[in-house]
Amino acid sequence: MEKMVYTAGNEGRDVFWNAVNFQIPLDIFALIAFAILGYGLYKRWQLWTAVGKPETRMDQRNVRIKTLLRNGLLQASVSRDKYPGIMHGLIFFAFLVLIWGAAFDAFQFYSGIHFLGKPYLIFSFVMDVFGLAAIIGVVLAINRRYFEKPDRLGYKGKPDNKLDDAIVLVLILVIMVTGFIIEGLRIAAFDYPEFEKVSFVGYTTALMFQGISLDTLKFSHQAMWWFHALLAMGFIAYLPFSRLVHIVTSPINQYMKNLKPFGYVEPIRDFENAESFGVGKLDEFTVKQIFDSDACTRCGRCQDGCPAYLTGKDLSPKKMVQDIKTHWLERSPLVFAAKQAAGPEGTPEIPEPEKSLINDVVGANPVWDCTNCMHCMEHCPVFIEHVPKIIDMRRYKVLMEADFAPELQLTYRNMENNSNPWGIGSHLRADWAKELGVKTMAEDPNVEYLFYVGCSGSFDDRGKKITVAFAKLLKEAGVSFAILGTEEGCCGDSAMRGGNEYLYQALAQYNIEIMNGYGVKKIITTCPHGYNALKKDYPLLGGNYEVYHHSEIIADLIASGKLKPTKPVDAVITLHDSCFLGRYNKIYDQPRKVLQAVPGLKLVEMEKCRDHSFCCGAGGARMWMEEHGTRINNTRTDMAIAVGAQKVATACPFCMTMISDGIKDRGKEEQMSSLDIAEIVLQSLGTESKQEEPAAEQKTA
Amino acid sequence: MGKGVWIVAEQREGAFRKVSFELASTARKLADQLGEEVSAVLLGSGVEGIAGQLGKYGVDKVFVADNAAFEPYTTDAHAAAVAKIVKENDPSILLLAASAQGKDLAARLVGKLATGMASDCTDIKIDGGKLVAVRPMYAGKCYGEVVVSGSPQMASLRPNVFPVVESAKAGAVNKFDAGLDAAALKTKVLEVQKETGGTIDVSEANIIVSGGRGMKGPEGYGILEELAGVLKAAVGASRAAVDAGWRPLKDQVGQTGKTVSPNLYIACGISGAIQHLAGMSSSKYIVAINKDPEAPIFQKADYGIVDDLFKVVPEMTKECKKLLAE
Amino acid sequence: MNIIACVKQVPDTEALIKAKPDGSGIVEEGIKWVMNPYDEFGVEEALKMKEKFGGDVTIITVGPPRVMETIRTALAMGAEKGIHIDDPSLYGADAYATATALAAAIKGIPYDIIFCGQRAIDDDSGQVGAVLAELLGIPQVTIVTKLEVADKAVKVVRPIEGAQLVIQSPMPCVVTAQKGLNEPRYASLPGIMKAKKKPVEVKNAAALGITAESKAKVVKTVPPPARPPGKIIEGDDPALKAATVCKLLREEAKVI
Repeated sequence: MEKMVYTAGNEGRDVFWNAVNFQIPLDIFALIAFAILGYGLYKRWQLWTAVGKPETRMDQRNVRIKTLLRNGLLQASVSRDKYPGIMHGLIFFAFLVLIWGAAFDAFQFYSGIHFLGKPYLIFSFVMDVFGLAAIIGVVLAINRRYFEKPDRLGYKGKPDNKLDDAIVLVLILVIMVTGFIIEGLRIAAFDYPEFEKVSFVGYTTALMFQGISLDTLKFSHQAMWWFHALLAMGFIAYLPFSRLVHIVTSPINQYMKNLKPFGYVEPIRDFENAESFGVGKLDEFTVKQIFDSDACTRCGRCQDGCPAYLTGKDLSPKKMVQDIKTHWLERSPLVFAAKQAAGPEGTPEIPEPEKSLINDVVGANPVWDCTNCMHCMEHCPVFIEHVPKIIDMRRYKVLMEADFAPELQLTYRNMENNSNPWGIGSHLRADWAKELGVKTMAEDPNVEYLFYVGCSGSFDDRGKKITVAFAKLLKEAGVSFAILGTEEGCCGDSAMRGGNEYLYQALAQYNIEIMNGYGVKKIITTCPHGYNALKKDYPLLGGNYEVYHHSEIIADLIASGKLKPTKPVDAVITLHDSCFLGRYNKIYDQPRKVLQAVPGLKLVEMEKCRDHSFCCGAGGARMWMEEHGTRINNTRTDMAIAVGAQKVATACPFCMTMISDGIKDRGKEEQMSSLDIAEIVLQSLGTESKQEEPAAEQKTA
Repeated sequence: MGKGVWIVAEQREGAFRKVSFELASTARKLADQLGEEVSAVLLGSGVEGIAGQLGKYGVDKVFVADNAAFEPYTTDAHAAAVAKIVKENDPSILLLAASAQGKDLAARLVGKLATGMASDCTDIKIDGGKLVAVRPMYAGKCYGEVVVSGSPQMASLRPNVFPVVESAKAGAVNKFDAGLDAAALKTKVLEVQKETGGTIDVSEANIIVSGGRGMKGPEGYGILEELAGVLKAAVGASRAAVDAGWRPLKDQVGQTGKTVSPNLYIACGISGAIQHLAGMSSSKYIVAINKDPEAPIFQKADYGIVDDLFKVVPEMTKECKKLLAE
Repeated sequence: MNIIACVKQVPDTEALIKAKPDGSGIVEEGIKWVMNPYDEFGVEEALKMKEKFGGDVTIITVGPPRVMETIRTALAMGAEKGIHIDDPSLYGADAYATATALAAAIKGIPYDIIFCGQRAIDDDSGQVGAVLAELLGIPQVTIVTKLEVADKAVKVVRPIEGAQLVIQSPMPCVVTAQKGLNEPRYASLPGIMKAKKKPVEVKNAAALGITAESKAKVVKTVPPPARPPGKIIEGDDPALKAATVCKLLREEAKVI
């Protein structure tokens, strides 16, 4: 049979067997393919850099490399979701291994160094394993996209499959299958050497070719070889023009991940001299914000947990990113051409966009549908930042055009005039504390903690009950604390997330001035919105404090034995994770620990909990806006009903409002109630009746 | 300074409005303290016949100007006529109604007579021969005692506050010529659109009857509409009712709906979530009807009824019909 | 079109209003000052008119230096310029004196229409617009909830008890704005920034050639009579309770 004889201990194969003469044409084709790849990426680079304000994310190289290795190479973020994680992992690792395999082959061929024996056997086995993996991965992908058809791969029940998706899947599948056919033909031509059984897929394939003449085998091998090689070259050339470009863009995006606190939104830093605020046109995004859209693979994980999308609103984070991408692909070549025409010195005459970014491209509704719950950003495997884009567009609508919901205008006026969204007289802010004898910072600034109460805890009757319960817990545990009283102002979170950065900064600066004036170091909040704002947004404006949420404090006080919940609270309870506590600040365990410490409670988890928690609907200034169609809070309440909860525990006064409303809307007031974790612990202390008296005494003393 | 307590009587379609008798009775009281006469100005078309009725409430003289130009009311015609007769007679006190028409006329007269006025008074007395008017300010958060140094001392009285007291006087009718200059009558009333309950927008209504989750369904609003019809009120709704599709969005009262401040807000089956309270708590009077005695709305209510609204509201409709017919 | 909007700075509706113990006024400390909401409807209508017919909007106000902030608010909404009449003799002035000052300032400038709020939510007098119209010798249409302009005339809707009047008035005239006329806009940030540079003339009484003398004076400010705490009407018979509440509404509250 063939010339080289591979015997035991000397197992191997001829690289380029039966195709040695094709090596030069193949090199030429490869050159062409790589040239197209290079050209395509170069053109893409021009488009990436043509539009957008500069933004570099190249600091902290070591952290970035680690992020890339973890999430790119090791697929950590992709594999958080099982089916697509396995599916993508199979294809991804196969691709990675097979590319090195091909390179290894080329190296052997050109260097003349042949690895025979065991290394060959291992190599061939591994290549077959990953070749098969790729096929399984592609089959899983085809099944998912064309048979299973989860909604996340579409929009509102309609799949958004493109021809490109099919081409890519078929391309990979055919490359893999032809690879195994080539291997099988070769093994058949070598008359089924025993050792080739390690190439188990190729060997199995070869069994189909029994009884075929050597010439036919060789001819078929050559034909198949060319087909395979050309497809592989095609793959390389096609990459920059297809969804395959994510092989380049996704890792780059992962490298450029936001390393600032999760949910970071760049504040507007100069109100006096800037001419425009927020983003109303594509080129007002940063290059990174636009690049995000090219890293998106339309996997739909963002859409899959989006409370707005799942309750039938127009917003889909995926669609938004894709709409921006489509717009960018229309605009960017024009802008690039104009810049080229003007030269480095000239002023480019950039044609005005025909479409308005917000009204036509993204849509005004989607911009306002978002609750800022961060589900999309938490689960995006390539770290696309949806929420900051939405806030930027809201900023434009609010600050530049003053074109936004009238009810939100009222909220802002209320915040301006009375420093709370309801517009209740600011002098009433500390009325809840009157009967408790809680000190103000003005009375005693030498306390350990400032209890920043926030608007809901100060003005909403339901919120006030939470505040009172928590203040009682602090007193019971002997924690040294004070409040700001009527000096406290609105934290501004709703203004910031609703796009009114100007109002937000005014409110924040007021609070910072007061807090810094008292030399405040540690702060406790009961509201996760204030918590997040004070902890993560205020430092950008000069307010640096250690900020704790009451769930952290209560958990600590229980752990240290300062609070002893002893009285059983017999109920099936579920915890609703607040987005601003959970996803924003990764506080999932503390409220659960608190509940588990209460005897009698049976904690059950809703289908969507922890990082998959479903927003109550109040975040991102949605609390103050009219909601049309299916209400998010009712959908969330249904999930609590579904697990048979008698009590829904919350750790956020706004979640409390939304869930209580949901319980009422669902007519479940008799069977269910919602309680803050502080209220539950207070019940369990069983000191409630004794508690009243010392408070009253203090007041008279 | 002149002498006499004068009022500007208000009539519509040939019948005195009740506030005219309140004005007359109050003027009588003041005039008795001052030892002066009460005179009334009556403007209209074909109203001479009713002028004498004012005598019953203590008016000594009624100055009547009968002219088609006085119907319907326009500022130009009425202000010119009243200013003319007042200037001729130089009274010490001039009282008007703080009604829609009276407010418009009174303010113009302040300009024409170059004097001062206490608007929308809830109490009025004579102290040391001078008029002292008490009036709510800052939406009733405090009251001011007002003294007018100009002449006449003007005040407008809030309707339904001052008692109607009968005290028969001559009520002698004196016709006068208003001397209207057609060229000076610049504004024209093109149309009078009568309102019926239910068509009034909640943001403009003086009375709102509002329903919430407790209405149980869109059909429940029938009884609210009936009550609103009697009271010439608007029908409002809470967020829950609008969300449920029972009422249109334009009727929604609250943080995300309309902010209202009517004289009377009747909340039926509304628990009183903060979002709702933010939209209506500046109402002058709040009535709450709810089965749940713990509902937060009762803390804001001036009058509360803990009972089934479906039993209470129809009874209120009956009762109001009766009271308003009196 | 030359449009004038008169505004007043007043305490926020939710502000804590307390009469001073000596009755000489209210405690001003800690009060948040805002543009009178009815004046804001006037400013908004003025701006809408300007946007439709062209021209400019002048804001006029009377008051101490702090009222400049309110002028800036109106300028931020889109008005072109402001006149601030600042004279101690006019602080807390009555309607006649205030209108005299406004009229003196307005006489020197061209105008086609003047907007005022139907009343200010501090003294709740509701007179200035009408007095101003009289002093300028032009017609008034007060408490307006709808306004159209055609052929140098305005056609307005004015609610009265149980009816609405559709009134036509030639221009120039004074229109006093009532809630329902429009929804005032929220100032854009560039608007706020630009407002800082827009011209505002400050004038005192002497510059206007007037001497202000208030003829209606608040001689004493007192807390309101204690409002009875909310009453829960007791009883078992819904009909009786309904009758009781109706009676209270008529005789005690006097609202029906």
